[in-house]
Amino acid sequence: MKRLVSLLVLSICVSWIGVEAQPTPEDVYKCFVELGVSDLQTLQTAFAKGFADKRITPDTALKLCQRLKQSAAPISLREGVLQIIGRALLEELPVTMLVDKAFEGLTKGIPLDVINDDLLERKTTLGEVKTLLASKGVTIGLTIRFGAVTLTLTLEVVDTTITEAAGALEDYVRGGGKLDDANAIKSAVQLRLSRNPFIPQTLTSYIDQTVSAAEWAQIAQNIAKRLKKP
Amino acid sequence: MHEHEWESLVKETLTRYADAHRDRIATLEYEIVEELPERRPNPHPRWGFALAGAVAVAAIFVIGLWVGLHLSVAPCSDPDVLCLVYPHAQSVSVAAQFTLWEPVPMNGPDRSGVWWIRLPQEIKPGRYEYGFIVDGTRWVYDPRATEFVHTFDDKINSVLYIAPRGEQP
Repeated sequence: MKRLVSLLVLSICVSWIGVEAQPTPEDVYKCFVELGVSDLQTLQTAFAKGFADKRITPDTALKLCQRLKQSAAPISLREGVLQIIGRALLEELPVTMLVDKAFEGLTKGIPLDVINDDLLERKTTLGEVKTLLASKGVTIGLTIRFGAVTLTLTLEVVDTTITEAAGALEDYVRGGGKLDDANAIKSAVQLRLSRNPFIPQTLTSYIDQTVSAAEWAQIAQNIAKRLKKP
Repeated sequence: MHEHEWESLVKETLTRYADAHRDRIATLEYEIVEELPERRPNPHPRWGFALAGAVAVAAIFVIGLWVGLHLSVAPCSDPDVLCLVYPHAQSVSVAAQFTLWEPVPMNGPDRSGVWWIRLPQEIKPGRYEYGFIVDGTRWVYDPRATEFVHTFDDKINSVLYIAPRGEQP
């Protein structure tokens, strides 16, 4: 009986340690406080929505907050990174690209004002791509029938599609791609979508048929204007 | 002669012999015990052998490690291995989307000055941007990559694709 009780206590301890190892939203908010953010309430609301929507995990958010704590930049700039990501979460945009670019910029020692400008620009692109795809019906719950295949879109698939399309457009423009070659812009997007194993081929084909080259080119030109690319 | 007669005779002879040598038999045990330390092997030479063996094993390990790191050839033909030729670097790390851009030290250099790292097995299929950090400060792209993208301040990231298990990239 004693052995059984010991085993039970040990199991509870082990499972408690296991739970403790995974950061919770509260750990993230505590980090925000330690960082000294001025608008904790907005950040908390935005990230709580992001955690609930599963667009960001507490683990990733905590790592980002901890990386920002190590930065010597003014708190307003450090908080700026979190605010941009928070606003994207409130606008129900995928934030994978924004979080990734924040980490990348911090690792490369890019000044935080440059990182913030970059994140704002990319957030605008994500919004434009989401609006374009939504106008074609590419939203959560859409059911696409292609021959014998029926596909119902999940949040994860829609977010991945928006992220990849926006990323392809950003890379095209930043890489010096021709802005007057709409077909090349569309090809870059379609290629990126087709190479992602999480985006069903049916959806890639649907986007190919419903989104025109001119529509993708318009977003690319908007990016170029924001980046002041010729 | 019957068997029982034979046994009686043997027993009688042994008894007589024992009576005749009673003094020697009484001290036999002590004589054996006294002789034992002289015949017991000296433990020191064995410790010496053990020590020499341990040193030899350690030396083989260190030499093997050194040979492995410096004289071996980096497994760059393996598609799951990232490589960078940088003979004069003191250290090379890889930073990538799959490490949240946290630098991870690479192995090497090998005898050709190649640094290498094996991609983690748990990495999910997909597209990943990455780059190398030489000597802790210099950002270097992978010349072996087939795709590149421009990022902050026109720094260049390399791109790799991880195919689902069992498929060619």
